[in-house]
Amino acid sequence: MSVAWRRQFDRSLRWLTALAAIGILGMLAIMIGQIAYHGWEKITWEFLTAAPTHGMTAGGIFPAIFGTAALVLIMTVFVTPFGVLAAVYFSEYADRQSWSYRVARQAVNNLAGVPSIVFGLFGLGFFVQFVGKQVDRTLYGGALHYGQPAIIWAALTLAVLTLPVVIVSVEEALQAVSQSYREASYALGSTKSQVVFRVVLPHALPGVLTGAILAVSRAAGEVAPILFVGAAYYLPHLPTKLNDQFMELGYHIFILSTQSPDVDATKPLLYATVLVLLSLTFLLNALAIIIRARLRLARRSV
Amino acid sequence: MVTATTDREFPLLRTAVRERPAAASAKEVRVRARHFSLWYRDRQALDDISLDIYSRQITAIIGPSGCGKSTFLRSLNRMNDLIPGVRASGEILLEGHNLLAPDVDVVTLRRRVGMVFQQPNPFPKSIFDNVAYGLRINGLAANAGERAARVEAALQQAALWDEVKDRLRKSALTLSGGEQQRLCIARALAVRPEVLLMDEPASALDPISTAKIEDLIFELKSRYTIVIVTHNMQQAARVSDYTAFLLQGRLIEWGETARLFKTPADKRTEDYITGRFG
Amino acid sequence: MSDLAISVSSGTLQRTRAPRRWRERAITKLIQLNAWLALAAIALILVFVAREAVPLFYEPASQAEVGWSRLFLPQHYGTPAAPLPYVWQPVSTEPKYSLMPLFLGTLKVTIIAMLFAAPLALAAAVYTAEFAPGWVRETVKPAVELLAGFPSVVLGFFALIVLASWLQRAFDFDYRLNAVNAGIALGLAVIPIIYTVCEDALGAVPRGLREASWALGATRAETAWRVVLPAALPGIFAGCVLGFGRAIGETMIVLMASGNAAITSWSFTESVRTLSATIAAELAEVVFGSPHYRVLFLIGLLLFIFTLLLNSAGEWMIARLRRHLTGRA
Repeated sequence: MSVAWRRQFDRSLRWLTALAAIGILGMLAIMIGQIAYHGWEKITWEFLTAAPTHGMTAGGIFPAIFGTAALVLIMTVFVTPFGVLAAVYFSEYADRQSWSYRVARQAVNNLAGVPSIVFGLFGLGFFVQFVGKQVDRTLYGGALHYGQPAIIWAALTLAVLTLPVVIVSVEEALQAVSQSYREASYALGSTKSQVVFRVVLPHALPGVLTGAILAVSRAAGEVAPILFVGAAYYLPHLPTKLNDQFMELGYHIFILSTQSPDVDATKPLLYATVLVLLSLTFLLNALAIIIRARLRLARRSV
Repeated sequence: MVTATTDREFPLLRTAVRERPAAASAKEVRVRARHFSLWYRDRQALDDISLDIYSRQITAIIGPSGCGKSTFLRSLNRMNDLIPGVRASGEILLEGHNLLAPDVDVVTLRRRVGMVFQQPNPFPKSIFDNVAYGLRINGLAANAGERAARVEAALQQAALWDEVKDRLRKSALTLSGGEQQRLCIARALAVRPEVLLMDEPASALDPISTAKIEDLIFELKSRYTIVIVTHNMQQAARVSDYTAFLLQGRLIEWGETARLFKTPADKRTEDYITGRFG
Repeated sequence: MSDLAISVSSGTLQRTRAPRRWRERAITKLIQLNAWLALAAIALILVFVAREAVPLFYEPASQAEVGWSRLFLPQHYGTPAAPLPYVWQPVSTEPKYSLMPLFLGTLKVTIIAMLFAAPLALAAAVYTAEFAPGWVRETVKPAVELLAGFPSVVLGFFALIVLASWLQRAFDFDYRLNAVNAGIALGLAVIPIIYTVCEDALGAVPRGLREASWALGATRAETAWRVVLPAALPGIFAGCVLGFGRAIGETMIVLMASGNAAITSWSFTESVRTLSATIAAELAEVVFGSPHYRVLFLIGLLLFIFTLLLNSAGEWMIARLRRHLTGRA
C-alpha cells in the first residue's frame, strides 16, 4: 500500500464522515427553517391569547397553551419530589455493589425505554380504569367523576414517563457536589439525612431545576400518552377542576394535521402552532443547558 | 544479558553503571536538533535546543517535571503535530534532512522513528495482531509467512517471545504490565525503525519489570539509536551513553553520561543530580 | 451503605438520642422504598396492561372472535374482499385480527429508519470523535441534542405535510403516505440516540491507543478504522439496538406519516400500519372490554415486553464495552 493511497483513504474517510455530520445538521436546519418560515407570520399576540374559532381555521390557540401549561404544572408537582428522592437514593444512600442498587438502576433505564403508547395504555388501564374507579367508589358512591379521562390522570401518566429524566438530572447534580461538604457536615456531628437534605441537596438545587425543566420539555411534546387519558380537540371552557379534560398543543397539532376537514385552510394555523410548540421545547431545553453550564462554572470556582 | 558491574561508581549518585566498550572515535550523528524551539499557543515549551543524538547510542533526557523532556521527545517524531496550536522553529535533522520541513511525509517519518509510551498501551487485539499492526498498515510484509517471521523476530528482540509464543492469538490485555510494555516495544520494533523514542518506559512498572526493561534497552542499543526520557537519574546513569539535562525548556548541558554525572559543568545540573531540587 | 465512615450513631462517646435514631432510620427506609418506585412503575405497567389483555384468552366472547391462531396464522376468509390470508380488519361484519400486516408494517418502517439513521449517525459520530476540530465538535453535539428535543408529533407533522410532498415530487409513489416517508421521519427521531451512544463509545477508547497507532505511522483514518472502531464496536452495536428499540415503540410519527393502511405486502412504497399506530388509531373507537379492545392491549403488552428486552440487551452491551476497555487492561 503506497503512502499516497493511504492519504487518499484518510481524505475520503474525513470527507465522508463530515458529509454525514453536515447532512444531519442540514436536515435539522431545513425542518426548523420550513416551520419558522411558514409559521412566523401567524404568531401574533392575539394568536397566543385567543380561543380557536370557525372550526379551528381562525382564532388562537390559547386554550391549548393553557391546557399544556396546567398539565405540566400538575405533573411537575408529582414527579419532582419522587424523582429527587430516588436520585438521593442513587447518589447518597445506595450501596453500589448491592443487588438492589443494580435492580433499581436497571428499572430506571428500562422505564426510560418504554414506548409512549404503552404509557397511554397504562394511563388508561391503571389511572382511569382502576384508580379513577376506586376514587369514584369511595368518594362518590360509584358516580362517574374520576373514572374517565381527566387532566389529573394525564399529568400522573406523564409524571411516570418523565421520572427517569428527573432522576438522571438530579443524580448528576448531587454527584457534582464536592465531597468536602459532606465531610465537613459529618465532622460537625450531623446525621446522614441532615447532611443530605440540609447541605448536599440545597447545593444541588440548580440540578433539580434542570431536571424539572427537562421533564417539562419532554412532557410538553408527548402526545401518545395522553391520547386516551384526557386530551380533547375542542372544549368550550378551560380546565378548572382536576377531573376536567383539556386541550393540549401536541394533541392539537395531531388532530389538526390528520382530521381537519379543510387542511389547506388550517395550514397556516398549523404551522404556527407547531412553531409555538417547537419554540417552547427549545427554550426550555436551552434554559436547562444554561443553568447546567452555570452550575459547572460555579463549581469550578469553589 | 549484560550484568552491571560496580567498577565505575558515581559518588554523586551512588549508583553503579554498566561497563561499556570504549567509545568509537568517530561517531555518526543520527539526529541533530539545531536551535529548536516550540510553543503551545503563547506558552513557550522549548527554547533554542541544540543537541546531537548519536547512532547506536542511548541518549537520556533528564530534568524536573514540566521541563519539556517529553515535548522534545515527541518533536522527534512529530507527535506534537497532533496537538492544536503548536508552533515550532529551528531544525531537527534526521540524517541531514530537516524533518520539520513541510514536504516531509509524517507517516513515513514515524515508521523510521518509533515510540514507546509511559503507560503500556497495547491494542485490544491479540498479541500477534498488536505486533503485526505496523506491518499491516505500512504494507511491510509481502505475505503472511513473512509477517509471522517479522512478528517473531520483533518479539525475540523484545525478550518476550518465550513467554508468549504459545498464546499469540490471546488478547494482549491478558499480559502483565511489564509484559505489555515489552509487547509495545516489540510492536515498535516490528517496523524496523532507525530511532526508538522511549517516554519514561518503565515508570509505570514495578522494580523487577523495570530492571528487565532496562536490560532490554541496553541490548537494543546494538541495533537501534535510542532516546529515552526519564525522571529517574539513576536509571539514566545506569543505562545511557549520553545524557541531556533540560530545565524549564532550555538545554542546560549534555554530554557523555559518565562525564555529566561525575563532573557536571553547570551548577544547576549538579543541584538536580544531587537532589537539591526536582 | 454510606461511603463516609464517620458515624454518629452508637459506638461513639455519647449515645445518640433515641428519637433521633428512629427518625434517621425512618428517613432511610423511606428513601430506600422510594428507590423501588421505578421498578414499581414498570411492574404496574405490566400488570395493568396485561389485566386488560389477558382475558382475551379465556373469555368466551373473545375466544369466539380471536385466539392465538387468528392472530398469527393465515386465515381463510370466504369473501373476495380479503384475498390475502393475513388481514387486520377488526371492524367489519367478519372481524379479522391477523397481526401479520401490523408486524410487517412495523418491520418495514423500522428497517428504513435504521438503514437511514444508523450509517448517518455512526459516520457523524466518527467525524466528531476522530477528525473534527474542537469548534466543530461543539457545534455538532448541541445540534444533535436539538434534534433529540424535537417532539415526535412535530416530526410526524413535518413528514405528513412537507416530506411526503417532496418525496412525491421526486419519486411519484402510488401512495403519498407510505413506509418510506414514515421511515425517514422515524430515522430522524432515532439519529440522536444512536449518535450519542456511538460517540460515547468512541470517546471511551483510551487516547493512549490512538497515540500508539499514530506513533507507528498510521493516519487518523487508519487509526479510526483499525483501532478505534473495532474497540468501540460493542458500544456502537448497543447504540443501534437502543435506536431500534426506540423506533419500534414510536407512535406519533408513524401514525401521522405512514398512511395507516394495514396492507400485507413487502412493498415499501405502500401505506403501512404499525403496531403502535394501531393502538393509537383504534383505541378511541372501541367498546370497553370488547375483543378488539383486548387485542389492542395485547399488542401494547407485546410491544412493552419486546422493547424491555431490547433495552436490557443494549444496556448490557454498553456495560460489557466498559469492562472490555478498562476492566481487563
